[in-house]
Amino acid sequence: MGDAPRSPGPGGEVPTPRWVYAAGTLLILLALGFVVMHVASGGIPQH
Amino acid sequence: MAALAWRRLVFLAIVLLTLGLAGVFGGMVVLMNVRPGFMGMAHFTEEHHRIHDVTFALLNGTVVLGMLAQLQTPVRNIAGQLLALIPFAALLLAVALTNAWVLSPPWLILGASTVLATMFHPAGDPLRSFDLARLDRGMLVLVAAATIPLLAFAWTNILLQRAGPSDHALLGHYGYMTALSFTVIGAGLLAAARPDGWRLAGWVAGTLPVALALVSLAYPDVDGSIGPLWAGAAIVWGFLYVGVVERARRNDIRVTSR
Repeated sequence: MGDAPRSPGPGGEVPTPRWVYAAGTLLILLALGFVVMHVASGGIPQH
Repeated sequence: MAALAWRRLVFLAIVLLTLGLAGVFGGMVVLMNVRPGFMGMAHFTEEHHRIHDVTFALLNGTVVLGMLAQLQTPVRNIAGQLLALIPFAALLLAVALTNAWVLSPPWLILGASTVLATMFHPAGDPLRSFDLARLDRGMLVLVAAATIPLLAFAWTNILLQRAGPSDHALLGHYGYMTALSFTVIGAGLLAAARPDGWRLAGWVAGTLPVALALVSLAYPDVDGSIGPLWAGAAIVWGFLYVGVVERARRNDIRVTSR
């Protein structure tokens, strides 16, 4: 997109830190929990 | 190295899954219009919901754009990945500030898929690309100037969503309008920070208010319309913001070509 990358290393890829996996897992569980809750409470509203 | 290669493959698969899901949800909306009564829903068919439907489309469109950017050198496009997360975060915040009527499986599922992609992003640590020295003051000032009216707009919609149970509130529509305000602020701040791939976030931040303004002008009497005065202000702001984005990009090119 025209902006110079500043990631180190030839490919710029580094291992993912644990906090990213932890935070991501919590968010996914939250989202899926909401889906279950929403469907269990009556499903998709009419619109 | 093998682990990074596997992560890259898994990431690509999740990006394609996310885009596929967005395509399925979009396809369902198209079917609702060509086959009235499809799934018992009527998105985009009823004028009094038009602006809210467009707003929801803009939120999902932001996710799609951020994820599309990941199909080309994702390690240089962490900003696009973070941009794709912003609507999800904005909608979660809208739910927290209002009520569960804002919840809806499409944005929750798309959000979960986007978060999963972020967990496997080739750049690894999404915050590694941020550097205070790269902060663009011009963009930051414009975001600051827009924050007060955007938060006021969000607050109005939060109160409407909480007031319920109008048909708009029951469908979570005021929550979507709230989330759009937060998304503009989030995308604007992300672009101003200028991590790798920031230019897309800048264009999205500038374009979202213009899109809302145009649909408000097209449907001035529909719920959610921001009126001609604020539509004009949103259009001016959007163009200014994109102008500052492009100026920063040209400065970047000048610096790297020396």
